[in-house]
Amino acid sequence: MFEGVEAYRELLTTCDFSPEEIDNELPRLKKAFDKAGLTVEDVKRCRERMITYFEADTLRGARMALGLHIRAFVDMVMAGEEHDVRIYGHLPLMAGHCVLGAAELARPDAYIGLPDLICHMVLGAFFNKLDPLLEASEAWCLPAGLAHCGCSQAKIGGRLTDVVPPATLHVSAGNYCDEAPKVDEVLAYHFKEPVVWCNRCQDESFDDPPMDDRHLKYFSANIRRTKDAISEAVGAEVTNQMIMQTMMATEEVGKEFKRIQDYRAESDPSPISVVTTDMAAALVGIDMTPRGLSKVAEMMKVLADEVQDRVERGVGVVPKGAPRVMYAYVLPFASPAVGKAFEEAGLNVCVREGYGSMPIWSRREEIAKLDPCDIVAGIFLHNPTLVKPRWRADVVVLGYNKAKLDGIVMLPHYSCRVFGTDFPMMRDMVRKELGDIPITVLETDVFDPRYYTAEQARTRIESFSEMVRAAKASAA
Amino acid sequence: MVLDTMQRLTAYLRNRPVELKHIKDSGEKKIVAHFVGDYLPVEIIHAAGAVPLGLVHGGDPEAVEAAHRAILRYLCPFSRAQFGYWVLGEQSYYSLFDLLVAPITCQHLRRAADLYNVHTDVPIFRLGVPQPYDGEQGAQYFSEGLEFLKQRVEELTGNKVTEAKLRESIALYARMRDLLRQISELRKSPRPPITTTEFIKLNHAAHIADPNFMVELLDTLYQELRDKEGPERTGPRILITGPNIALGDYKVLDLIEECGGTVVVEDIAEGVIFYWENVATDGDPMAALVDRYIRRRPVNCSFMRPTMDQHFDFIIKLADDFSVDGIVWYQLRMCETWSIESFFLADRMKARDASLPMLKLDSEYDVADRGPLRTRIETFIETLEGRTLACSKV
Amino acid sequence: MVVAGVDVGAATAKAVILRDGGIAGFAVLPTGHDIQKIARKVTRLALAKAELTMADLHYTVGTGYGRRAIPFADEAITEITCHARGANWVIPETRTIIDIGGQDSKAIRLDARGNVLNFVMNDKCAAGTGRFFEVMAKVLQLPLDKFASPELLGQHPWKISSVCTVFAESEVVSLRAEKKSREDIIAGLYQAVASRVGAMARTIDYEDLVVFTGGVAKNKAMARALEEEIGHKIVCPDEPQIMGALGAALFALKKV
Repeated sequence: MFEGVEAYRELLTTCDFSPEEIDNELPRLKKAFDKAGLTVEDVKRCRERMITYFEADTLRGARMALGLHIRAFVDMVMAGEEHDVRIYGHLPLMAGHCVLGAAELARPDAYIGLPDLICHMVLGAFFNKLDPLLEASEAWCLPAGLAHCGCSQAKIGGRLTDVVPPATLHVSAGNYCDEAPKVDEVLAYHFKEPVVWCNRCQDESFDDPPMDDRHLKYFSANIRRTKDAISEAVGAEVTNQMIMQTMMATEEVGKEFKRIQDYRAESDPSPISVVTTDMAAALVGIDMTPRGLSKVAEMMKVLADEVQDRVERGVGVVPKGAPRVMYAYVLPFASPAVGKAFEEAGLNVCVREGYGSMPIWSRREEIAKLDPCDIVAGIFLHNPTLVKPRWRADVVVLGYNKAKLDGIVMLPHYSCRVFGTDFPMMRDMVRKELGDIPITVLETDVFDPRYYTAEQARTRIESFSEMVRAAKASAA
Repeated sequence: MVLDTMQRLTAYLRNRPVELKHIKDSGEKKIVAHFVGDYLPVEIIHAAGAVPLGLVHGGDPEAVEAAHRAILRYLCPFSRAQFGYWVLGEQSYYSLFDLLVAPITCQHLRRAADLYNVHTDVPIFRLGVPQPYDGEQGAQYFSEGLEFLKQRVEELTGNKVTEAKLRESIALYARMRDLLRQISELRKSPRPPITTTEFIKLNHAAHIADPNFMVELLDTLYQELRDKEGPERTGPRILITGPNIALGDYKVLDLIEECGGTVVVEDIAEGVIFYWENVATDGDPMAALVDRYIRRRPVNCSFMRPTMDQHFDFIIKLADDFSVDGIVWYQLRMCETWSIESFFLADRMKARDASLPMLKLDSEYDVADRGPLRTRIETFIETLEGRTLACSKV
Repeated sequence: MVVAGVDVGAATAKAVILRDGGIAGFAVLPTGHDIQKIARKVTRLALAKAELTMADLHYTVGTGYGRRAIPFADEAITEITCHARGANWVIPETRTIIDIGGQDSKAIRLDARGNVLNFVMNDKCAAGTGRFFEVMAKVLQLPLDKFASPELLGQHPWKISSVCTVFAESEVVSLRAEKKSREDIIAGLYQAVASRVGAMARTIDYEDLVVFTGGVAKNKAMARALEEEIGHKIVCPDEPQIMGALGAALFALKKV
């Protein structure tokens, strides 16, 4: 067929493709990989990384998840040829992603995706080949050394290198940071690709937790406008019912994922690596259409069952009795070695920031009567992690006590003015509540693998592990 | 004579912290500080009988350093300094206020407000600033925010913001802006009677001084300057643009002058953007404020979107009106949105028929970047002079 | 009972031998490129001072950035934990450690038992490390030991960029071109490093007693600049360079 075809086959086998699926997908995949500049050597290395970091040799659920990522990447690269309508969202996952996903129900042949996240997972985490994209953006309008966000750099870089095809519509989260929506303005300004900005005002009070109606109304009106823009782009109305249906599909995934999270929080030894868990969880952002989500739910169920089995057999990824720590909020996407380094240092990274807080959709009866755009707005505005540092700190304290933890790792991503800058404030607020507990603010770059490597972080991570152990021993 | 007026201002500003301290201690008036950027109608604060105080200081590496404990380094140095001054406790303006109003504009200044929340007991009012893309719905939201602000300052001062008082305040500030613009436009002259550094100092003073004093001073100054010619300048005429040039951050302005350039106009938040457009003095005053601060801005700052076309058109118009030979883009490091815009302005300038050279500079308020900045500026001025020379030969 | 702590840092390798709970010998050598070889060599040298050999070792703990590459070590512990333990043993009142090594610097806060409470390390660049001084000494054409002598310290420190070794280097070159006195430039360099390290350490809050360790701590001028910067008195142990190795040896002792 073509040179090195065996390596491609092996990779796809590792990604849980059946032999027939491999035969069907191979030509498309090869074409997409070629377009992205991925060589046979890259494909071999990718497979090794999948085994080293993501438990591809031992968990079928992990293999399925890796396969879904690879499919999403191929779909994205090929979307220019295969779809007339392409709608992109971006990280941070905007509140309207259910609206975005629902577009598939209005127009089944539209391509809907998050190019930045897809590039980070596949080119970054799996292939370690994100650099060309980042460098392309740096040679253009996002220069190095000024803390431009690697996430936006990947999107612009992907667009410049033709890995990401032109968009019919960019759905831009104007509700969170300044950089990503500005980068969408660049796409509109330079490439003439239309953008709809889903804005909100961030003038909520620092201390009081509830959002007032004013914020909700303003934001949900923006979501409604986004919905209309999407309807126009796909040439068919995205109805409320479609949004609800997408929300339900997300919830299905959430249910299975919660099982995994609970096992991780409650079992000793920890049954699954935090790196594998995060990789699987990222799919909620990647396959956000009902069709995609049903596949994610299927994968998540397999994975949760496997985790349950490991718990029953007492199998774990770190030794029993390892100190339990919380991580806030994500591990570097493109350098899975950093997440792995925590486990290698003997830490059970068992819960994520947000653990113990009640998701709003648990009050389903109550909100079922509302307009879906209001619900989407409400879900976002009631998510402590996304809204304000005081609230985040409160939730960290709650989770710390509830999960009986020994320490907290905060990973501010270099260049993220919203997420990253929260951490020093959260540390100070958490210390006020919990005293001198072991907390480390480990500066990394979640979206750029070039400046912060696992090797660099290793000494800090190991020192932290030693510190947590000492604190645990002296408390006992 | 001009010197006298400027000296009078310097003396006034030297005494201003003491004066404010006295006002605060005597309980005579409340002091309401605010982050700058021209998204906050100070007229409301003034009409409530409080003293509006713009926090315009910057350029001090120590203030940036002082915030290091509390925030990571990828916020812009100006925003870090806004909290750093409080930590240092040496800049008295930062320890004088009874209320801090934080217009939520970019993430950097939002973080500065958050830092005050985490580490101090200063009461804070956040004013939601909508995106221009949100149109009338945004204007509505802003208008509601202004009502809340009005209530808040009324509670603080115990004074009602009546329509009559608000009109008075609007008229006063309108007069101040008019005068600033009139003085500003004197710089269109081939021999500007006032340097841009002096002019920017006037802008800064407008954020700190009592507006009545300021109007009187500006009026005098304008009378003195209107028929006066400054020293003959042969160097290239420069437009400086960027997010802001803080009080104390005069390094780049000074260097341009030292290298033989003349800065003739500034496109910055506390400069042109502050005085270019005025609040209408007729009609409903609250509506007039919304109109001026949201709809009728000369420029939307780069953290808004979309802004680039509007911003670049405005810069080109200024460049034409002030007969500019070159543009210096001076921004603060880590400001992501301005950094993006700079690339496209340079692009657009190259694409123009009468292309204007542009130099991009950034600073983190480091004392020591003076050397590298100087080299860049000197080279740029040399290039511009070469161009002018080549043109005059033809 | 003989145990060893071996600290292979970026610039120097250190070994400390403990016999019956007391220091029997120690040695310091430049690291070079072969970590395994230098680890063995420095340990042998330290053993020789106590008239011992490798065969006498009961337990060895490795530390420093080369800790995992020491073939004969029974265990690896990070230099942060080891520094804390070592400094606590020498000066029990230590609550804060500032360590400036060859290629990194760190600040550690510890409790009365030598447990680490909090720590911070420098970013990846060389500013605020021993390497910075090496580069600057070279620019000023001074041997490193001369560079460190207090009599070469000017009274009017010249302000130097605290940001980057490369820029600082070109700055020093231009200051030299402007005929600024070498003494004042050196004083400025100390101030720059002190401000860099001081700011970093401030993020974990100082608590008395502040102890200064690492190779650069031998440099009295640096200690003075640091004291001025942080406004706390600073104590330097007699052998600041071997605190990490000593801590490692103390951990080894606990194992036997």
